[in-house]
Amino acid sequence: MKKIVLLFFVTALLTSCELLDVKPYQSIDADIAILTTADLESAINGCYDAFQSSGYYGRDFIIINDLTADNLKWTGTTTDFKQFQENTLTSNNTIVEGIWTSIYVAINRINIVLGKIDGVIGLSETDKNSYKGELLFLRGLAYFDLVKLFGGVPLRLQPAVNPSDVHLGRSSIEEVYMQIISDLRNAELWLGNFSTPVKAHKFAAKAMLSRVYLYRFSFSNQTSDLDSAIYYSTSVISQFQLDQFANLFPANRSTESIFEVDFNLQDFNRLAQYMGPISLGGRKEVSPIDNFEDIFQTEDVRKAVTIKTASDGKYCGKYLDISGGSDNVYVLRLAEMYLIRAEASNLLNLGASVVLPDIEMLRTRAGITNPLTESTQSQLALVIEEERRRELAFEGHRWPDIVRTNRAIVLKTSIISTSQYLFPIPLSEMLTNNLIGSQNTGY
Amino acid sequence: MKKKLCFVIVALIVGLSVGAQDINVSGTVVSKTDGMPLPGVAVVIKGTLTGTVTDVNGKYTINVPGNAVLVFSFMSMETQEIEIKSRKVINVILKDVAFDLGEVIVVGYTSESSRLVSSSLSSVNVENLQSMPTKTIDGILQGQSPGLLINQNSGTPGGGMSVRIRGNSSINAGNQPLFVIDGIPVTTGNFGSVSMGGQGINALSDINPNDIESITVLKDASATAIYGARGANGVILITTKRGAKNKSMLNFSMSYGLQMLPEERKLQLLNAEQWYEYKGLSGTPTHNTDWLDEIFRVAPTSNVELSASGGNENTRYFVSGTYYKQDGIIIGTSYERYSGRLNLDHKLNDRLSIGSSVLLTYAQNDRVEGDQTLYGVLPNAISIPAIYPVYNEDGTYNEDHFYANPIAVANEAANQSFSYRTMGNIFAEYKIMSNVTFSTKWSTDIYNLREHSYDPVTTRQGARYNGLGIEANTSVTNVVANNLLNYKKTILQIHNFDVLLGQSFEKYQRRSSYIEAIDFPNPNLQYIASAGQIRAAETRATDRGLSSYFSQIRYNYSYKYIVGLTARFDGSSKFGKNNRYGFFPALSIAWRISEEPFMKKYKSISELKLKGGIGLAGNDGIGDFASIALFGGGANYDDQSGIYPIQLENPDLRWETTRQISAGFEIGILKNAISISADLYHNLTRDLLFYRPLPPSSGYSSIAENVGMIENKGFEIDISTINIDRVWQWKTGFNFSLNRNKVLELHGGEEITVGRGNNLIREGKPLGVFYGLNYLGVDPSTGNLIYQDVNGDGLINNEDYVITGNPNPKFMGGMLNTFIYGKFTFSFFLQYVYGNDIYNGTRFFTEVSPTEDNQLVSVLDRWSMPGDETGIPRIGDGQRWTSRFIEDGSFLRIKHITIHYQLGGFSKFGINQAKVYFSVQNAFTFTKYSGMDPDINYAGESTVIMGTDFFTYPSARTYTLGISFGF
Repeated sequence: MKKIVLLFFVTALLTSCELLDVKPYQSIDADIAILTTADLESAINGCYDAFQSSGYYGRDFIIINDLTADNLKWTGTTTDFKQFQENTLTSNNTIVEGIWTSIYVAINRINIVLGKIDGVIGLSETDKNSYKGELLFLRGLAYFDLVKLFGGVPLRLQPAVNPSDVHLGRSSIEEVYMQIISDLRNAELWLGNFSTPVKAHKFAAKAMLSRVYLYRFSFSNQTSDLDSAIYYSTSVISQFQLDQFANLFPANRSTESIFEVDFNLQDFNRLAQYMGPISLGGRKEVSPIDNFEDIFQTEDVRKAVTIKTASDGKYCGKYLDISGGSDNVYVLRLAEMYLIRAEASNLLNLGASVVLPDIEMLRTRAGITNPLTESTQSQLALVIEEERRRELAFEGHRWPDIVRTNRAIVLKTSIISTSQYLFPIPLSEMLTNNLIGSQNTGY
Repeated sequence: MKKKLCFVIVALIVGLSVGAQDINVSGTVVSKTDGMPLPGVAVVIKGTLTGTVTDVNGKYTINVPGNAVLVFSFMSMETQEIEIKSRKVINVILKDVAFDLGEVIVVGYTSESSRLVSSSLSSVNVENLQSMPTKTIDGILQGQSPGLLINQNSGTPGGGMSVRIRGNSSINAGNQPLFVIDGIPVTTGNFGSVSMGGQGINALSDINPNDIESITVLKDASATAIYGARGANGVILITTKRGAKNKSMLNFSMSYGLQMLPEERKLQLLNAEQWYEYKGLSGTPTHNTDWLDEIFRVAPTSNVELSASGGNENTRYFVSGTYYKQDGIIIGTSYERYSGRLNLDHKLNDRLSIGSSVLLTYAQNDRVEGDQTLYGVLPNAISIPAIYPVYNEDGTYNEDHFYANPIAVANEAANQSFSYRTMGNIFAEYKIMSNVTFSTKWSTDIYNLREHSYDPVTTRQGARYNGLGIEANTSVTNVVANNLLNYKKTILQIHNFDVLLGQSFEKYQRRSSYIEAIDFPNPNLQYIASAGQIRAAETRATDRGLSSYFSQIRYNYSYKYIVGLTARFDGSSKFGKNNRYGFFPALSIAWRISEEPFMKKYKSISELKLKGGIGLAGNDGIGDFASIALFGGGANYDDQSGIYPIQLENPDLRWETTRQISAGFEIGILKNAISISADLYHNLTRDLLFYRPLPPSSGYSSIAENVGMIENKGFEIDISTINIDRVWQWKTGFNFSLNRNKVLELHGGEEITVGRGNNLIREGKPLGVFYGLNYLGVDPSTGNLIYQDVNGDGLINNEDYVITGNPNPKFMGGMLNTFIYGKFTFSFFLQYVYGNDIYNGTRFFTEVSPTEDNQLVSVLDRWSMPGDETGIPRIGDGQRWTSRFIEDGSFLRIKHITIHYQLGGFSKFGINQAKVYFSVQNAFTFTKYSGMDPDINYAGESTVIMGTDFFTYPSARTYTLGISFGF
């Protein structure tokens, strides 16, 4: 019997050693996560996935760019949205924090995968560059989305590996733009040609560059930036075709789409749900401002597509899948390239004959027949601003459009100082990042 | 190593039994009580160390000089000295010791006489619990034991409770104690996959409290260190009933009760006319719906139970079967449980006995969406103004308001969970030698939870998706094995040793699946086979292992001086690779002064004991694999799978350690007519497990680290008295405890705020104090709230936040009074909690809100024109974290009142005992709190969100009538 007792203890001892050696089932050790091309592609999908987040293209980033400006108003229960509408943001606003966090989650994933590419077995130099180009395009986009809302931000290009290197100071706006342009130029060089608008490609990088140069001009005042904007938009325009406006929404791989974030029933966004009327099952957190439809001429086909009416009010017609959330979300589409070229040309004061044809392309497509007659540079600037609003309403453009032209202070009574142009750095970042430095003015 | 130890033990025994003398004396030693042979009795020649012990049959043989005197001694028996006078056969009858060592209580892997306990624990009187309508373990423990704070998370039937022993010692690692049933740690907690907005499922609800024989609450490290890395929050030991030999019994009992929301606790909301006035609407409302009356109901509860126990010399059994049903006081909620138990013991021979305990439970829990969603029944009933009708004229649900119609949600949506529980163990005990026992116990706890949820198109949520269905399955299996070697020895009648060596391992597996689908063709087709589209589908798996070695040595000198030593090694798969094993030692001592000769003159003092202890216990309530840098799956894009980095690594991650020091005394006066036990304690928790927030720009939100310290110190007293013991009897049990909690150190002093009430964690302050603006009053000229401008900068913002309240009670306890007169027994139990604050988050939305939410009648006193002197501001001012919503949460609750009556005259039907009783549970609550129930917390499963009411389900008042028969 004593032997049996002993045997019990010995077996138990052996069992227990095995017992402690458990491996996770839902996750794998980071060291062995990215070894093959298939692993790498999964990890890159994980980077695109970060752009679907509800703090980013999945909801808030799109909504607040129209809500902070003059396209949307708050009609729901989430009081944090109210601060955007009233331009009274505080650093503890959870939506501001969510946007900041979501974008940096994307950047961190990109940085980690970038660091793993050279270790992947059996990849040719070309393949490596093509993957790097894809990631650099996404990183350029992410930093651009940050810099236009927050100004200079911590420019993290290497992932943190231990808790001591999580602190990082803010770079200047100029430095951030330099990095964005460098990332996008490399992406342009290394990426392949267009195959689908839901993945990065050479022309998506060019399109981003045209936008970035145009935006940078607003504080660099270098006409070379405008030349670059025209150069890149022109090279993209030749590659894509305008679609019928009614075909553009809900977004799903239109011929006009340069880059869009894919959503489906499993990976859904909450745009339609937040913008949709209660009578159709939406939350109606935000609605178009009163009489928003008046910005369109009667015959403008964009009016009926952009604004729809339900029993409990008007709502945005660009995102319609309230239950499924499967509408794709545009990041870059061809119409914007025309508008960028027109705006850059006008800023170079090239005259109505150069500027107007690009605008007329979009007006004609919208079914408008009476031609524009404006001719001076300032008249044309206003034409471009209004055309952008009609064309790109609820696609996340309006706020940076009226900020970079310094028109926000004129258009919105709730804006009394240009310090309201930048969002506050979220409180959680201010409290935990020892090197963050100063908060944006006014917060 | 184990082999060596066996050898040492054997050598010890052999060493003691050597001897060669003149004549050979033999005989049998039996017990006077039952005439049974006594194995292990020490037979020593007086004045020497020479002797032997009786074998399993109580027989001994010894060589002695013919004139010697033999001393027969055995633990808890009176020692006898017998002169041999040349006799060859001497049979001895030993009597139980005259002094009473008290009842035997379970103290860990062993049991001990209560008088000899040197650590801090309390045993709960389970006798009174039978007549309580609450049939969950945590429910019946409320107020019963000092130092034990149990809060309802909500009044949802079958819902979870938060249990705290001596305060909160952790921020992230969990503060629930370990529950051990019949020696086996059980699976507790909420395993639901369907989010119900705070209305958690409670795995502990599957256990029927009427099967319980005893409950012991282990409170300090000298008691809990034997549970090592899981002992820091205390341990609740539950022993179920077993059969007794030659005593067959059959018991039948049933009860029926009615539950209702106490009318005085119902929220007073605006009626339709008042709503028109409030919103400045003209005209007369066409409807006046009292939404609360629509959702609250008088709900029945019933319990039927049959149990049988008995046995003979060799076999004993206990069998029970129970049906329990509780409908919730909110429509659409109920809990139903069928459970059966079989406990079996069998003695194969004098050395080997085996046994098993098996529990089978099936339970169904119907819930409604809770407080954290837009589809919650109670929050929506509070928030929808009275002007909306429940039904439209065509009979459909009215869905005109922003919030979903709660009646539609409660009546139409199905939210069911079904738990299938099998908890069983088998054990064997083998007497290797008369005083060395080996026992082994193997158990499985299999918990299967199936959830079915369906929102048809008649509900708001269902309409959006054209039917929304969820099926989820969770299966949790925990296999535990305990192997124990026990050695008991008494040397020279005065040195009593009890040594335990043990080894244990646990293997935990959790598997779950979840499918969510939309677009159903017909409300009768609720299962996903009929769904048009799958929206989400996933399965998950987690394994965990725990391997432990422990030892316990108890020694007492003549039952007077007592020393206990325990130690445990725990290896856990949860910890980082640099800290796989933890060591948890403890020491306790006690001095029973009443045994000293100098105390004999104080006749009135029947028992007096001083005790003290120190030890370390751990808390392993950290996530699995929190120490490794990991990539997770599911970050898919464009229908292709994606992986992503989850967390930074921390190979040093370890358990939290709490050093616990306690000292106390027990005194019994006038033959224990008054007995008092009191304890002082100081617990210091180090290496606090903490998800330290990282800068979001790092791409990570937090990292799991061991940083920080928390202190809990307090005092507990338990007094029981027999006030009158004549024709009628009056007994009182009273307990009181206070605990002071303080956060001593946090990572870099960083503060954290959590929850809707803004609970703050700050160095130097109790855990979870409320943080917000200090409200000074309403400005009579503007109707605006006036706040304290703490930093004097002319602005009111979050820099002016101050500590506005403390959710930790100053003191708490309970009192039970029992009166017995003839066949009547009357008892009432009071529970009290004093000095805690509650953040009434419901008022945030229901007092002067400018939105379309219905309001409390207090808004009728709001400021409406300059010059109004009132405490209620103008409409629209107030939705901020302020002291305005902090209320005194102290309460005194008449928890239950019971009258029993012993019926006679049934003996001709074979009924030995018949009893009827009537009880009122939650009879009345004295409190200043304006919400529905001061004893709730919307996020009870959270460790640090405390004292916050947010549209939370209140507890019911229950009237119960019951009968029981014993055959």
